[in-house]
Amino acid sequence: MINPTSATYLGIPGVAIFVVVLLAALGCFCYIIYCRYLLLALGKWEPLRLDHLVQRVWGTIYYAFLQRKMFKEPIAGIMHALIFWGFLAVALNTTHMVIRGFVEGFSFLPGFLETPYNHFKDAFEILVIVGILIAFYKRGIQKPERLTYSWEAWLILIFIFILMVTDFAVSGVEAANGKEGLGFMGVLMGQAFAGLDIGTLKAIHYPSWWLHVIVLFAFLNVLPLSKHFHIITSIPNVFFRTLEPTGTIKPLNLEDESATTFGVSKVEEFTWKAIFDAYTCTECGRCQDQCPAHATSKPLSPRNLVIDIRDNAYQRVPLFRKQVPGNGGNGGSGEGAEQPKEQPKLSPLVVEGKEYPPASGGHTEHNGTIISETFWSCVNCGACQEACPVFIEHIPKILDVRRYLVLMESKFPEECITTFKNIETNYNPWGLSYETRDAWAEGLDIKRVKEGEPPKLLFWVGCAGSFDERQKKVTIANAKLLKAAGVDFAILGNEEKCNGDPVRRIGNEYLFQTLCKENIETLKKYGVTKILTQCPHCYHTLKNEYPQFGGNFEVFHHTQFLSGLLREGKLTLTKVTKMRVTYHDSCFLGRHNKVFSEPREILKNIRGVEMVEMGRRREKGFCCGAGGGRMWMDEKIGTRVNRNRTAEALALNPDTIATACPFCLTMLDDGVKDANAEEKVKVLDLAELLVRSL
Amino acid sequence: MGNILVIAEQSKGSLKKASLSAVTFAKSLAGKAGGEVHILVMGSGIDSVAKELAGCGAKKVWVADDPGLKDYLAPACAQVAAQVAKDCGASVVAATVTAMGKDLLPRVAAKLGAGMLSDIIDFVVEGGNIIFKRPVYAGSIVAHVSLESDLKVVSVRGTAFEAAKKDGAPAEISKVSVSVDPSQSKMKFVNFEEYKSVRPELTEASIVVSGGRGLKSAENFKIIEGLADLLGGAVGATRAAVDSGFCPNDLQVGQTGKVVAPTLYFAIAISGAIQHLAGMKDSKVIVAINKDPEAPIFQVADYGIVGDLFKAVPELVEEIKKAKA
Repeated sequence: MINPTSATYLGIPGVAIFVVVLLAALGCFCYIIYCRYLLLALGKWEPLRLDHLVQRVWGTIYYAFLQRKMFKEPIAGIMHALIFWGFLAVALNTTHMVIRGFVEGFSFLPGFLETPYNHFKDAFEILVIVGILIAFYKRGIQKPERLTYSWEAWLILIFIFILMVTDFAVSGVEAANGKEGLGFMGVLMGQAFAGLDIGTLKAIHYPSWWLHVIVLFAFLNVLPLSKHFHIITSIPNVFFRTLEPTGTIKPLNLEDESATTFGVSKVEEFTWKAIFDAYTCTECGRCQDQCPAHATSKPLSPRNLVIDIRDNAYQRVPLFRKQVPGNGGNGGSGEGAEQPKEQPKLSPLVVEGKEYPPASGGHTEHNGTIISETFWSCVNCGACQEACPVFIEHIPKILDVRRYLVLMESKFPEECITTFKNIETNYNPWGLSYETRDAWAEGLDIKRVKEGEPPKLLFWVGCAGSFDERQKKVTIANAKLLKAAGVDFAILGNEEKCNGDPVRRIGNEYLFQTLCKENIETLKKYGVTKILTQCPHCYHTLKNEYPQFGGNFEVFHHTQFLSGLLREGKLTLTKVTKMRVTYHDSCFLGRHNKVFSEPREILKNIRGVEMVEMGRRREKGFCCGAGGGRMWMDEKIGTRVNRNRTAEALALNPDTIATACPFCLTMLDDGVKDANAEEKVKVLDLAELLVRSL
Repeated sequence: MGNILVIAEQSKGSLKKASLSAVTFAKSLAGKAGGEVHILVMGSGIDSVAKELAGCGAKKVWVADDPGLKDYLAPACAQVAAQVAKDCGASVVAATVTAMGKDLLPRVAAKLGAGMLSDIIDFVVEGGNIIFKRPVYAGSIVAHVSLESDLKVVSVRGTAFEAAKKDGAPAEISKVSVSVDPSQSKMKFVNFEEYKSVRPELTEASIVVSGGRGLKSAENFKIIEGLADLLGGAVGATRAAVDSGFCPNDLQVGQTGKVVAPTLYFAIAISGAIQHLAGMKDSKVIVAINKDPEAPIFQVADYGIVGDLFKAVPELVEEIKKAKA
């Protein structure tokens, strides 16, 4: 058999054409990747995340190579895994195909592996085709809302399909020509081609091979131009994923005197990792499917957010224009870089607005510009990050922009002013006098911390637990349970201050750091080492974010602590209460901190409880609507998150909805009242349920 | 000490009652620091206003009656007021804090080269020196301030001084000769559009009547409006009532709505969730009507009725009507 490159085409030697095509393809690819690198360099420097290497490597195997997050959507997961694994299996064969353009019959494999590998790759090529057919079905017939629909996706699917089919054709010709050691598909195709004369075989072989290599090169170049860039970036993105609990916010260095701005209003103010996240988004929309803001018709779709950031970023380093040197590069643009006189028109990343203007281009019709309401819509529930198969971090991006809007522009929902002011003056969001913080404890014989006598356990009551009449009942229940179990504990009394979660999540990092530092000082003054909270927001912030400022404490949520007391037999439940209970997972307790089983364990311990679970639970729990500072903002757009959640709970016909968070309690209680169900359904904290069964 | 000149306000030939607070201030100051009280009123065809003011216990009422002063324009009025202040030998010029007072007094002070203080709620006289009291930081602190200039211009908070009674000996009425040519002014009077407000502004009302989810419908919400109108108060609502469409969004009182601090606050069918309390906790007297005796609103209420609002409110309305009659 003659190699396709050894023939001449219009008098030009095939190998010359192949060399030109190969160099053009590689050159083009390198140039695009170089532009993408320049864009990364435009972003702020963030050290490469190389800590916990074993965990990172294992995560990369587990999540990237084994595709574990993909299977949460079974059909799409199988579809993707077949194509992905197929790619890995076929990669060697593809390399062979290219090299065979120069060296006929080239192979890296020792002879005895040739046949097994050919069977192996043939099998995977069939599976890839199955995967493609599933993709055709999903994209063409089923059309789920979460996907974006563009020609890119079709082009790539067709490319992959051509790669598979042309490989079969080439193998078939080789088999028909008497080559040994081919895979089963090659043999099968060979039988189909048997008896054809050499001219016809060449007429099949040459176009198939050329098509294969040209499509391969085109494919390579389409990758970094499309959402299929993820094929290159997702494995490193999984490796560099955050290992902190999701929802943990990085501190801002407010004392940095060289800082000219805080937060993010332009793409180049993001770190390179945030831009890399945007490269990696495959527009699969799993995030959007889980997003409470999207489900209630707010302008936020985490998918569109990331795509818009990417669209905006690509305008900064365009492929076909003179590059605009940015100001934030960490050595990318050198000293000699001139500012061009005429700046090309760039879309702003953020504009004020509550509604997107009519279609204006770009992948989402937003042309790379995001309206401010998008950022205010977020409840920080982390459902998007949990759903994202490639570990894109949405919340930090949203927080970065909120920080800019609050700290630099003072543009935020005006109702937050009340909350800021109240926390500044009375250290609680409602502005009730700080001197009445411990009023709930009156007559209950509760110890206060004393200097020189470090408490064994500090009960961090929180603002809701101290001031909200409803949540005070939970506080008292917790205090009673601790006493019943003989736990020695103390409270800070009026020296406790808001932990800072509400203001930090709204973007007021300055006020947060003030509160955080003051609280750490107080806690250290009394020698506190172990803290019990009854609010997942206090819990998350004290546990995961106070260490950023030197506050290292052992922190428990009351559901963890109480389930521990039950396990140790320190609490004995005697009463039987007939109840049909469903438990609502708080995002900051559940998804962010993975406390799923302890609350359920408590319910199992209460005799007479019949537990019913909602569909959206545990990792897929649906927010109450109050996270991310939304508790302190009006919800005027779309429908209400709390009503959506309450409806799901009420559909189970429970008589009790159990929670473990003061915000969830408020939101669900409101939801139950809105549904006129307050006569039939009570919303109670797990501590209240426990104390009733003592 | 010299005399005290009060600039009174009139509109379309009738006296603005708020001006009488400044007259009381002036009389009280004259009593402690000496000097005569003079009143200036400006406008066109305002004889009756001048007569009314003459009965308020001032020494002299200055009347600037000129067609050019028919419509209030600050530059012309400031010119006249500064002239009269000089003519009557004033050492203090005062007016009540109203839209006009706020607009006019700084101009008068500038023309006279006088020191100026706004929003006076009280004063003391110590050794011939007047120390004025005025609230700062939204009322959390009262500042004691004295003006070093010989001539002092102050605006007086209306609610801090009672209206002057019209029981004094008739004052001398003196015409001020002015000739104002409005066409010479840089400021032109275009139109006066009166905003007909049935109810006072929610955040400024001294009485607020608020309704909650327990009202059940927009139709029933009229009960709240009825009580508010009877008391001359503003209408408020909880987020739940706003969400349920009982009333417009801008009536929402609470953490994410308006923050109010009236003298009297009615919480009707409001459970008193903390998000609502945050918006009304600083009210002086809180009256709650709720059928649930456990409702947190009773923790903050000064007076409470545990009962059905549909019975309690109509009865309350009847009693108020009787008391008013």
